[in-house]
Amino acid sequence: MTEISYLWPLTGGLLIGLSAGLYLLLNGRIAGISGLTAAAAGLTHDGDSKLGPGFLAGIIAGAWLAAALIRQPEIVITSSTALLIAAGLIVGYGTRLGSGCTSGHGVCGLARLSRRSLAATAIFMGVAGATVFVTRHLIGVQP
Amino acid sequence: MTARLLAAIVSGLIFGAGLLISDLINPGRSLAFLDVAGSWDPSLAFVIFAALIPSAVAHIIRGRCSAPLLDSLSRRQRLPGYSAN
Repeated sequence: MTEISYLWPLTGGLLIGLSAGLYLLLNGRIAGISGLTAAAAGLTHDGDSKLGPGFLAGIIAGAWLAAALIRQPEIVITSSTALLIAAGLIVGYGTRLGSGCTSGHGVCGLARLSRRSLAATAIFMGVAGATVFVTRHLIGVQP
Repeated sequence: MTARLLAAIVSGLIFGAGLLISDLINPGRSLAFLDVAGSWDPSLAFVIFAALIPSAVAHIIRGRCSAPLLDSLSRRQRLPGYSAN
């Protein structure tokens, strides 16, 4: 791994943190994608029903703009659509059960020194790592 | 369009740009981070580490504010651990 390759994750991470910080200071809410998606789907109420859809639309537009202006991603998805939908359902269910995902717990919660977020992040990272280990190295699936 | 909605859209734009620039938009990137027994890719750790810096600064600033800048009338503190709306 070359030195320059660290700059992309660090720059992107700074932007994600800046986004979460802005949303916290301006709107007083946690920029957690699972929570915003739940609000956008009408499953929860955060006091302003347009904020979730607004944030999500912003994500898509922001990624599209960055792809057009800054760098072209090389995305390889080998899984079938059915598998992606099934995985998405499990992720959605789990993130609501756990009150957050990588953004809500990992970026916002850890920055607030929340013990609940530290526990959640450690558990979902640990379980995800174990899942990858079992599927890739024990079963031998290589997605 | 309300100022709060504009703030949500702008925050989303920055978030989306961050996801693309960090390449977290690529599912293979997350899988490579989780694959500690394979060819481990630490990129996701760098993303979270870098994201925590402005996020923590914002949290500290927020602790000194009585209310969010665009939500001052309702004085809503929609954060875990705050029950008084």
